[in-house]
Amino acid sequence: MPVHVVKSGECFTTIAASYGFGDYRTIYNHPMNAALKVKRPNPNVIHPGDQIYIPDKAQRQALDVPTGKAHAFKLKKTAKKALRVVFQTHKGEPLKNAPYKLKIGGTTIEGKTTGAGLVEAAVPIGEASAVIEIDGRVIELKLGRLNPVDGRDNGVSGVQGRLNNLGYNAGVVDGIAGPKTRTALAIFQKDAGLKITGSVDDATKKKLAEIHGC
Amino acid sequence: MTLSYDVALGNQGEQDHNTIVFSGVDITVPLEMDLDNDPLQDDEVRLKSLDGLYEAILLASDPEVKPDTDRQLLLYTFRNVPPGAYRIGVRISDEEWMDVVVGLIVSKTGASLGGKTLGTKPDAVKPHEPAPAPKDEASEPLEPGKQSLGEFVDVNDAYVEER
Repeated sequence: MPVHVVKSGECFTTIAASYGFGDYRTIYNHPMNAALKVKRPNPNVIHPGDQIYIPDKAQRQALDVPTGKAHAFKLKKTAKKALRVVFQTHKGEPLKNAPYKLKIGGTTIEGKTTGAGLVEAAVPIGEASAVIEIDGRVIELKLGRLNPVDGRDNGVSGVQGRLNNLGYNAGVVDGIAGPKTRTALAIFQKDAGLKITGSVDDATKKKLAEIHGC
Repeated sequence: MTLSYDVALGNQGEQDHNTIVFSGVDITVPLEMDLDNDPLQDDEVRLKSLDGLYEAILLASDPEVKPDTDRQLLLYTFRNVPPGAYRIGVRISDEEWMDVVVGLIVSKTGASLGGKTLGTKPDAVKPHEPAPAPKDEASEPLEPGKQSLGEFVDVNDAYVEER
């Protein structure tokens, strides 16, 4: 049974697809991955370096079909992931009904944010980035790059990613809690009504994930 | 400039999402009009993050700078300042930058210095109101916790650069 070491930007769905599995749950729910499943309750947010057991593929039974006839075979739809981003103003108010243009691969989707400021789109597996034009800004979204808050680096890179998304400038997502990250943490803790420690503690991780939405 | 954000993807029909906040508050720095008594020379105010990555400079002649003639002040308004720790410096004529405030904290709830919340209203100018009678400012009691930015940004108070 091969072991897959997770790389940045991967999730269970992309890994499953790369090994020829149409449904990520075949891997995610495999008993050999039970410990990882407990550690990573969200299969879409896993950490580079995580190790995943890849089960052997079950051999499909051959179909007996008569010759001299036409047969229609239906292929399963290519799996897509969901991109959901809520845009907010500095005061935490949703960016309502804002027109946007979202470019994923060769496709451009135009629309307006919902009343909650939400942009939602289906993303083909394998797309690594998207670009959205909204509110006079051009933003690159690095798909699947957000690390977990309980990752292998004590969650520092996951915390940095969420702080940056929420408007707290934590600097480069490098897994190192340097001065910039600690300043951003302290300001977030102040705004969130947490004890101001400037460090990555469990209460801060929990609140960050809650406010960020994952 | 294209900003970049790390986001997580989810499964169809689920509720997990990412949140992206367009951050930034407006910060107004009041300074005395024409610090060097040279109307031809633009005084400058600089807002700079402590890590040096954010820097914005306003000249006295910029449209974001409004006069408060009653108080003989110029109000320098920095727009969309992201959360972080900052220093404010001034430069008069061709002199070196001089920091007048260090440790200004900008958060979602506004700006604060040494635990005191500062006003972030971009425009406090009331040009049509008559000027109040001159008062002895030194004898005026300050309301606790309501110190305004203008009361500490006074370059004549011999501020020294803090390191």
